[in-house]
Amino acid sequence: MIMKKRFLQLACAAIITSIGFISCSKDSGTVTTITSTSVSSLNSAGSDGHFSFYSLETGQQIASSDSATAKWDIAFRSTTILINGGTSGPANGGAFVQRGVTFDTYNTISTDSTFKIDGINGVVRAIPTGSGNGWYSYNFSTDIISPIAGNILIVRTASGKYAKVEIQSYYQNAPTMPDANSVSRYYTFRYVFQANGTKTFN
Amino acid sequence: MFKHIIAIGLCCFTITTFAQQNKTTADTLQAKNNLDEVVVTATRSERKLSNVAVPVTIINKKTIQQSGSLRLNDILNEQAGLFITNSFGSGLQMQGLSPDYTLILIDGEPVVGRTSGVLDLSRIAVANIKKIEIVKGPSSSLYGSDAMAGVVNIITENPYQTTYGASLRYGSFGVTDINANAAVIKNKFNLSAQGNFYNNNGYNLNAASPAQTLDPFYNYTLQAKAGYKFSDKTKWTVNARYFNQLQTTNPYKDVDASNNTFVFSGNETTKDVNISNTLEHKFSSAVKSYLRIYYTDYQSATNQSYIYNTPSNNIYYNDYFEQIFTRLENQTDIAINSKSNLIFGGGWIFDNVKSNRYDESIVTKKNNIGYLFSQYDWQINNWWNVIAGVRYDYNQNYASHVSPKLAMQFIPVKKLKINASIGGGFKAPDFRQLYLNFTNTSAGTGYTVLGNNEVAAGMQLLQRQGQIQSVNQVFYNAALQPLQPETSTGINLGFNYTFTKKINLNINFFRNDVNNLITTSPIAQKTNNSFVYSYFNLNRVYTQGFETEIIYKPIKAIQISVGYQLLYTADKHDIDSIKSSAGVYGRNNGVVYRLTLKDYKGLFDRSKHSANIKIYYENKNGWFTNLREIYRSGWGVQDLDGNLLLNRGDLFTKDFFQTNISIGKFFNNGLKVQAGCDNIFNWKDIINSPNIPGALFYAGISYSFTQHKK
Repeated sequence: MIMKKRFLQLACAAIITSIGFISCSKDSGTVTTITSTSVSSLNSAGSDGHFSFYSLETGQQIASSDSATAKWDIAFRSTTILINGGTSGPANGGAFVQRGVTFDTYNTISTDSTFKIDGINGVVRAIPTGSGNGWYSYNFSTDIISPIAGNILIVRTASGKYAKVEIQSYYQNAPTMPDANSVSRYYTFRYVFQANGTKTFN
Repeated sequence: MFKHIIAIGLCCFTITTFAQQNKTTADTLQAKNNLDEVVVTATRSERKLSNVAVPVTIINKKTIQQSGSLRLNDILNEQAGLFITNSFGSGLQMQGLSPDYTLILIDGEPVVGRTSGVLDLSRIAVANIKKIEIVKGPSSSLYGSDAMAGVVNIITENPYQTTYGASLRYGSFGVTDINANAAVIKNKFNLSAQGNFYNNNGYNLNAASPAQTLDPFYNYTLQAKAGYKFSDKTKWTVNARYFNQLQTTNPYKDVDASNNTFVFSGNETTKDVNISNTLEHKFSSAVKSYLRIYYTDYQSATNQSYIYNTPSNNIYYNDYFEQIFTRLENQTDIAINSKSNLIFGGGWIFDNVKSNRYDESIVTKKNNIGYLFSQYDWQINNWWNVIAGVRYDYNQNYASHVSPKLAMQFIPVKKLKINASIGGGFKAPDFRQLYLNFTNTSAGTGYTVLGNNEVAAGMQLLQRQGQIQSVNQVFYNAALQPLQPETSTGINLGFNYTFTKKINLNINFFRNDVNNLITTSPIAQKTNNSFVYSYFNLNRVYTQGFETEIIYKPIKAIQISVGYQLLYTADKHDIDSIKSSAGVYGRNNGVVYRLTLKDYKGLFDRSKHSANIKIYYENKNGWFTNLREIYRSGWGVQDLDGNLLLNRGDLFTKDFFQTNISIGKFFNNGLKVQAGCDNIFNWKDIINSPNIPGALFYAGISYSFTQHKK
């Protein structure tokens, strides 16, 4: 029974779509391609005590045995998100929550933005935990976790490049109206990873 | 389905009961909204309904009986502008304000015992009451705390002749209702007593869930009223009521988050005692005084157990809550002259709560409230009446509070009455908001709620124990401030126009502004990922709209009424946020957008439109029938996009539409038979309205005897 469940969880974590975007870079005039990647129902139940590690650069889930490497960028366990850096990992990753934007129109990380690092300078988590503090709100009357519309995560990856991440659902198969029967701790999110190291996403 | 077939069968072939206390002949139809009827709640003195300057609705006994209503929520559900909420029991939303803000009285004395601010209306049986008076708009100037949205006063019958009667009714879901009543008049002494038994077998709307949607329960209510007339000047009345309910969860198997099987069982007992004592004395034809002593004791006890195969895993959950409320009050009415009346009075309340919600063991918390009130009623001329009132409440636990009210009636032409009133309402923080210190140990969630007085010490302890993962500093700082009473200002402007004797139109515009609304929100997250909640004054909300009713009596035997309410509500903080430069974002079908005020849908659980059509028919031969249709537009139930406010793309219920019918006959020998169906088109919304199981069929029989005065 337990074996079967785990298998299903892995199956659900499959990456389903990649959408290509094409745009012109102003200074060079060369054409670059940036892909928006969607990840569906990544299991973060942490039933074995481990986080679920993910590489935004490769679009792969990373085994928890590699947690002490720079192979991963972001990790999930229930509502908590780690970024590979500071007290969470060996790399120099950081992040902040950008409020009040839409994913598609946020294209430039402003130069005065500060990337927070897990466990450094009084920061507990670069992506703060707690209802209303970071990526989600908790509704105590319905016991539902909802990603906050308009909040996206801006991440500096383990390799020092940048990505924008939008969390879309915390429930298995991302139901539009999660209810008491929905299975929680399944992340559905989409992201754009900028491979050229710049702070722009177009 | 099977249950329904049985019920239909019963409806056709069996005869069940219902109480009809006095007359068996159907002489007049529906005295409802008869403008000559007397109202006591609006001014704490007897006044004709047509002379009251504030919005009042009267529901009389005949309407209640012909509608087949058993509990208070049944009949209030059919009134325009009233909305029955379904969390923590059946609560009453009036003028768009939550159940916390309506005071419920029985014969002028408050019913206590609220859960999460909600007073469960189903505790009150309505079979043998005389009438219900509903006063809308803030009434704190007469009644003090909680009377912010309005007041519902249940007036019981005063014994006036020797009567006895009994009734029996049976319907869907095993709903059984039995009543017996008797009254004796002997010279200067009168005594009446009545009993009600109610049983409900419960139901399950979700076959996939091992738990019943409604667990079976039964309750009984015993009431007695005695009076003695010492002289024409002095009267004494005692009124006692006892209510007892037991609800049982039959054991069922379930699986927890770690896949372990357990057996759940539980029960909940609710008890309620009310005793009031009134001594009334007329010092002269112009001066009358009342001395009242009231005692009420509400108890609720919940026991639940989760039994595992491994006994060490077993979880037991017990909750105990008791509120003992004692009040001593004097009121004096003085008729200064034919044009002006003065009422003044004062009282003292001892309010005690015993519960294990405030500590691990059962502890008692106390509050003392003293108050003075006065009201001056001046008929300036034959077209202009002014009523001004004020009340001062001293509260041991909070700052004192002054509640004023001014109401005026104008009669510019004979057929038109204009009522205008403005008043202040308030609600003192309750015991739970002050003292709650509760960690939920059931179901392994482990969240904590800390009342305002407990929050500083409670959080320090949790932090020392290393249980806190993160703190929401803004909310935590707010929670550290002392709680203030919630206050409101309400304005009502009403027009009543009598076209002919057959048609009457009533329309009332209202606006309520509530400040300092007490909100509960997470102030911190624990290391086990659950939250710590506390209470703080934060929100400012408003509700506004209008309510209208047209009553048409084409012939003596028929009354048709159409009611409608338009309601707009908003949290002013939400509006500020939407207007701010940072804005608020929402999600609609997966697309994130920035909210405009158009996208904002106001407060949760509010229907913008609600309406009803009621047709009552009653002929000379004792036959009666009626059709009542109730409509409510969908209301917001859940935020789906994490902005915590209600906007386009969030979860709304479908429109609510219920049709109730009833038919019956009064016989000359005192017998009455009645059958009916509530919700005949079987409207259901299993997730959002689990209190509505579908169509409810019933049939009943009653007998009553009245000894007519010689």
